[in-house]
Parts: sequence; C-alpha cells; structure tokens
Amino acid sequence: MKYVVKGYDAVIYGMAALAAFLMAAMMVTICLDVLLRNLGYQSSAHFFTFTEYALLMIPCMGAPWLVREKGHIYVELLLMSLGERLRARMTVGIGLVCVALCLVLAWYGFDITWQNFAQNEKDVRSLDMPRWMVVMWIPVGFFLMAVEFARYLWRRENFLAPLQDIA
Amino acid sequence: MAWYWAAALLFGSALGLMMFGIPVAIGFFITNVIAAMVFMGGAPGITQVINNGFGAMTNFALVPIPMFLFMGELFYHTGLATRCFNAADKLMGNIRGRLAYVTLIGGTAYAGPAGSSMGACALLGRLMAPEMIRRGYSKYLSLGPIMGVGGLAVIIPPSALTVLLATLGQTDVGALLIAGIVPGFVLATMYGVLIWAWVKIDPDAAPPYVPETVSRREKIRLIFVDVIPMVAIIVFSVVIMLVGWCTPTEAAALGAFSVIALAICYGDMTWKAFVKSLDGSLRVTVMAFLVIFGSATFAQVLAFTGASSGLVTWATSFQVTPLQMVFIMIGVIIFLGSFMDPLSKMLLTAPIFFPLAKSLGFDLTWFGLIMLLALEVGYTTPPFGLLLFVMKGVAPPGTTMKDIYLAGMPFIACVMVLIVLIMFYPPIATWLPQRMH
Amino acid sequence: QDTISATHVFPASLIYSRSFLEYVKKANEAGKGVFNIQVRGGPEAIGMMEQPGAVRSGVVDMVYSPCAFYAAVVPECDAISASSIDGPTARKNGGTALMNQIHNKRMGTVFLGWVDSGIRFDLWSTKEPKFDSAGAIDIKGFKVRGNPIYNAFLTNYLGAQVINLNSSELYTALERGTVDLTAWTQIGLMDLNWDRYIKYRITPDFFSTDLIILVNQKKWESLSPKSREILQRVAIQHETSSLHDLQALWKKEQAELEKRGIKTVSQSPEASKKFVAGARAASLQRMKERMEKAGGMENYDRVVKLFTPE
Ligand code: NA
Ligand code: NA
Repeated sequence: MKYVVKGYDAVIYGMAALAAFLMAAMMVTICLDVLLRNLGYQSSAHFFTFTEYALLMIPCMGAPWLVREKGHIYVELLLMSLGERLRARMTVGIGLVCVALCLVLAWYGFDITWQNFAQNEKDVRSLDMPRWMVVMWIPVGFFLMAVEFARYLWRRENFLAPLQDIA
Repeated sequence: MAWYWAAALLFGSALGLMMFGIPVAIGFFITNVIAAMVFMGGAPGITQVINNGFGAMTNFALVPIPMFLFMGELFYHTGLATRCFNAADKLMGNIRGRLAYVTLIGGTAYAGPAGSSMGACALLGRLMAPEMIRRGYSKYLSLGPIMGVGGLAVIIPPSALTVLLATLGQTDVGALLIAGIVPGFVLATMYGVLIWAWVKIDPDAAPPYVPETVSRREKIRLIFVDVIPMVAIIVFSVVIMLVGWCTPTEAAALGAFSVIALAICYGDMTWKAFVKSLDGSLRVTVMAFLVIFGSATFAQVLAFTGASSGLVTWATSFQVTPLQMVFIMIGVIIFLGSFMDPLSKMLLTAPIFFPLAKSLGFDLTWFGLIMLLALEVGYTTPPFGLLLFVMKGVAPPGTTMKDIYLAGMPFIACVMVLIVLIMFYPPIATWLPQRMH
Repeated sequence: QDTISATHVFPASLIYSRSFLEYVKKANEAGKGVFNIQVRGGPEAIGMMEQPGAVRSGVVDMVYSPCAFYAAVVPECDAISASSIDGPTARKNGGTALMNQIHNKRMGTVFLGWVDSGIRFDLWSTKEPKFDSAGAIDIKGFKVRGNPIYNAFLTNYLGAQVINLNSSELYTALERGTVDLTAWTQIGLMDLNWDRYIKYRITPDFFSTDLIILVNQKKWESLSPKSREILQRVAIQHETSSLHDLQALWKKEQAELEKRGIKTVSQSPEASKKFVAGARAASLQRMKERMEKAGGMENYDRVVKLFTPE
C-alpha cells in the first residue's frame, strides 16, 4: 500500500513537472523559431503544432497537482459568511460535486479517447497527429483531479485555501 | 426553448454554482454538462463539449498567457523586482510621503512584467506596507497606493489578462497591449498628484524621516545598472511588437527569455529562482487555463443555444445611446467584480459584451481597454472586491476590512475618472495603437 | 414539420458563409411548412475544426465546411480541392454521387452538395515577387503565412518559410510585415481588408474551393421524403447558382482589385503548368497515403478520374 501511494504521488508530481517542462520548452522553441527565421533558416512547422498541443496538456497535467496544492480559484463570499460547522458541511458538499463532475468528464473523455483510438482518428494540422494521443490527457487529468478531491474528502480536510494564498 | 430561458439557465447555473463556492472552472463545466444534456441531445452533447474544449485550448493565441506570467514570476524570484524598489527608494529624495511615491514608482515599473493585480498587490503588500507602518505612515496612505498600483499591472503592457481579453474579443492583441501604455502613465500620474495632495492636506499621514543619504555617484550607478536595463526589457518586448519584428506571441516568449538573460548578467539567475518561477507561473497558468477550458466551451454553448445573439439583440433594442450602453456594461462588470476574480468575470461577460460593442460600432481596442479598467475597479470595490481580501491577507496584523475599504477609495476614484476621460476622449487609448500603422 | 439545426465553419461575415445562409434561406422558403433549418451560428457556437465531428455525431444536423477540414476521416476530400472541375460538373459525371457513397461509409453523413465551387486559389503578396530564369516564382526571402492544410505544398514544393497564423490574425501580420505572402481564394480578400497591404496577385490559379453541405445520415433518414426531396433539389440548384454568383463576384472583385492598384503577375506558361501540377500531385499524393492507411483504396482511380479529368 505504501508503495502504491508513493507511486501515485510520483505520478501527480511527475505530471506537474512535465507541465512545467512543456512551458519552459514552449518559451525556448518560440525564441528559437524567431531566431532561425531572422537568420534566414526555416524552422519546422511542427513546432507550432506541438506548442498548440502543449496548451491543452499543461492544464490537464497540472490540474490534479493544483487540487493538492489548493490552488483552484473559487468565490469565498458565501462560505465566509457561514458558521464553522455549516461551512464544513458545505465544503463536503462542494467536494462531492467536484468529484462527480470530474468523473463525468473523465468518463466521456475516456470514451472519446477510445473512439479516436479505435477509429484511428487524426487531428489535421502540420502533421496528421493521432488524436487520442492528445485527447487522452483530458480524461487522465479529470480522473486524477477526482481522486485528489476524494482524498481531501476522505481525510476530512478542507481543500479550499484562503484567497490570498492563491494569489 | 426561447433564448431568454436558455440565457437564464446558463448564467443562473454558472453564477449560482460559483456563488456557492464551487471552484470556478468546475462551475463552468457543470453548466456545460447541463446545457449539453438540454440543448445538444444528451451524451453526444457532453462529448461535443469536450471536443469543443480540445479545439479551444489547442489555440496558439493562448501562448502569451503563460509566457507573460513566467516573465513576471522570473522578475520577482530572481530579485529583479526588489532591485527596482531599492533603486526607486535610493533615488527618491527626502520628500514628504516618499515611501508612498516609492511604492508608486517601483510599483509602476513592476507593473510592466507583472500580469495580475493580485500578484502585484501581494508583492507590494509584503514589501512596502510593513515599512510604511514602521515609519508611522497612516494606515490609509500605506495601503491605498498598493491597491492602486496593483491596478496598473493589467493595463501597462505586457499583461496576460490583456492578451486573453483581446483573444476573447477577437481583436488585435498587439493594439490592445499598446493601448494601455498612455492610460497607464496617466493613471500613475493621477496617483502621484493624489499622494501629493494627501500629504499636503494631512501632513501627519506621512511623518518625515531622514532616509539614508546616497551619493550622486551611487545614484548614477543605480540609474545605469538597475533602472535602465529593467526598463529596456519592457520597452524591448513592446517595441519588437510595434515594429513588426515578431507577433505578440513571440514577443511574450522573447520577453520571458530576456528577463532570464538580464538575471544572468546580474548573476541572479539561480536554478532555485528558475524552478520557483516555473512553479509560480505553472500554478496560475493551470488555474487560468482550466477556467478558460470551462468558459470557452461555456461561451460556445451560449452561442449554440441562441442565448448570445438573443441577448445582444435584446440589449440593442433599448432606446439608449451607445455611450449609455457602455455605462451599463461597466456597471455589470463592477457589480460582478464584487465577488468574482477578473479572469472569471471577463470570461463570463466577454462573449456577450464584445459582440454588443461590435454591433454598436465601437472601436474594440478602445472598448477592451475600458473593460480592463472596469475589471480593475470591480476588483477593488467594497464590500467583496477580491483584491481587498488579498490585501487583508498580506497587510500587517490589526488592519481591519474597513481600513482597507477606506484606503482603496481615493485610488478607485482615480481609475473611474480615467474611465470617463477615455470614454469621452478616446485618443488617450487609441492614439498610440493607431500610430502603429 | 421537421426541424434541422445547422452551423457553418466560417464567421457569418465571410462571403462563403453568406452563400450558405443564402442556401438556407432558399431551402426554408421552398420547404415552408415541411421543414425548417435553424442556423445556430458559426465558429463561435462550435469550433471550426470540431464542426465536421459534430455533424457526424448528430449534435448538429447540417454543417457547411471545407472538405479539407475532415480529410483525415474522408481522405477522398483531397480530390475535390485538387480538382479541375466544378460542382455542377461533378453532379453530372457521377462524382458527387460517388462522394456521397464515400461520405455515407466513412463518416455517416450525407454529401448534400459541393457548393461555391469554381473559385480557385492564388498567391497574394505585399512585395514584388521574383522569378527564376524559367519564369517560376522564387519564394526565398518571403515570409509565407502557412495553413496546416496546404503546408505540404507550400513547404515541400515551393520551399517556403512558413509562419502559421489564423486568418483572423493575418491582417495584423500583413500590416507589420510579419508575413508578406499568403495563399487565398480569388474572392473575399477585400472583405478582410487585406487589400490595404497586398500589392500583387500571383497566378496561375491553383487548387479549388471544396465547400460541402453535410447532413447527418441518421437525421437524413428520419426526415420526411418530401423534406429530403426539397433539401436535395435546392442544394443542386444552389450548386449551379452559387457557381454563377461567385464567378460574377470574382469578375467584379477583379476590376475592383485592379482599381485599388493590386497587380496581377504571372509565372511563365511552362512554370505555371508545373506549379499547378505540383499542387495537384501534392494533394493526390497525400490522399493516396491517407487512403492506404485508412483502408479502402477501391475508389482511388475513380475519384481521380472523375475529379481531375484533365
Ligand atoms: Na492588475
Ligand atoms: Na503588465
């Protein structure tokens, strides 16, 4: 069990690290692209395509980690005005809703991924990318988000950070 | 279903869920799932919403957002921001209210790379507020300029929020970024006059003290070593865009890269600073992108049901002048601002407001800038402006919400005056972008 | 009464979307009391590239889209953009019927009509183009706006240096000189105000518009026979009338472009022939590769013969 948890944590942080890497890589490739263009060379149009895919992969890969870090933004207004007990109950309710929604999206996202895989669908840009390879990050992201929300519920811990900590 | 029922269901659900404290992105998604069930034929509709999100997110126009955020974080974590403040502090002579001016000038410089007022406000609150309180400044004069300067961060380019607004409004990103320059400096000047008048009327608000003396030589060194390179980077990232050497997207990446280069020159570019900057910008990027994911699909569902066009047609059928319509839109933004962050608020209103502005024949750059300023005002309006709570979080212990409300007031008034100025004299916003031609 | 929801991939302001809306208007008039097409909007309602998928899954009943947008699903689409004929001709020679079969099979949609045809692409540039000794365009030194769909031809055949941009971002790019050459259809350029910066039109004309009206097949079968008959009849009429309307528009725009000082320059007849052949070969090559991967090569020869008879 201990190893399962460890391995799971490695996945969550590993995905976040990968998202961060994609962000840095995005900066480097765009700068390189400008440089090459101005030196009169032709850089690959695939850079552009991969950058676009990274834009979807970054939030999907980082979202579960952000749940753990209590970094998702929400409106404090009503929660603040409640008494402590009511607020705690309300937070549990919110958590359940979050888990349910993430599972729904993960399910349908998985369905799309599977269909795209089975039908060998391509996303047509500078190259014909197997669509499932990119789409799959949506169900992966939402499923792991659901797990992270559920873990907070299980431990009866609040997953909504005070606003100034998010800023 | 008539468009108004669709509109009521969609906005009611999104706003209602968010008000209950459901994370904003999740609130948008729940609404989308409900709308997909109702308007898009059930399960295939949910699939469509996800596919729409795939298309909306894999869009090159979003690249500047993480880049500008990264640039701002690098600026902070490499200590370049602190250099700015140190320089401003040492260069400022011994005048009344000097720390308020330091906040203003250093903050305006920081506002360049900083994309969000939340970030700028948090930074200034931690950096300047304790120092001012220690020197016996009044609470109001300590906190007010910080909230005011935070507001500059969005309109002075580069700014991630500006990029997003231009993308949502399908208007020229470069033009909207550059449109913020003149109003940004007008606003900073207004703040300066406000501080000057404040300490003139109430000298006790800023007790004089003798700051450490700085030799002229040291001052010149500071200007050349700390001030000019920093300003140069911001000017660089704006100018390469102006002269057409690259697109706004590329300018954003080059901007982030040039901050790294500068930090290396100073010897401040540590691995730790790099990782911290990545971590910080990843947090905000993931948070923002997930909200954008939800709201981009929300906007599409809104259009698909006919609610968008219905609302626009309805709003334009009123017998009001276009300028009155702008006032109404500003009113809505400020009202929503009392409980939502600018990002969510922008994503909720832009799909309606931009088509409306277009149908009224407005210059979208002008309109976009007014919208940005209104977003800022809403951010700082009592009782629930989000920035107020951020300020509360970072302000010295013992600061009450009432202190913060009162401190922010005069500075919000300045922004409002600026909005009115731009409304009746558009060249403040449009002159510079038009020069780009 | 049948209701049919519809979307169009381009913004409503674009000439092609206007033509589709014209079809909807005519169809609704002819089908009064029998059916009603409700247009739900353009890319603001469902993203450009997501619309073909939406009609396939039945979220929308009717979609107006270039065939190239879903050529990964229906590889035969490439034959339409590479074609040397127009919509009415394809209708007559059986090409449309064959395309309909292929769309049924590969995509579960009805190929209602190939409309707005007969319009071709040109290269448009802000700088005077250079020609080599053989009279072929020398694209070196030009910053070319790429489009994922045509990049293969632009980069492989022309050796162009490509910058990818949405058509909505192109105005700014031309203005600032980030891009100085783009491929675009003969018409519609002035609607986007690109003529302020474009100075040259470079012929030969190449490729062909491939705008298709698609209907979800299940939906199609659920419609009353009368609805189907009217929808199809008006679509066939629109294939012809839109061809004529757009040709007339092209004549008018051509005069206007000239008035606005846009010069037409041509590659030598030799080079032109090679250029057009190159474009066609690039498309057909890609079609072949995709068909091989997707399986079902049986229609390859027929499609090529019907759509590129010359
Ligand atoms: Na700000
Ligand atoms: Na800024």
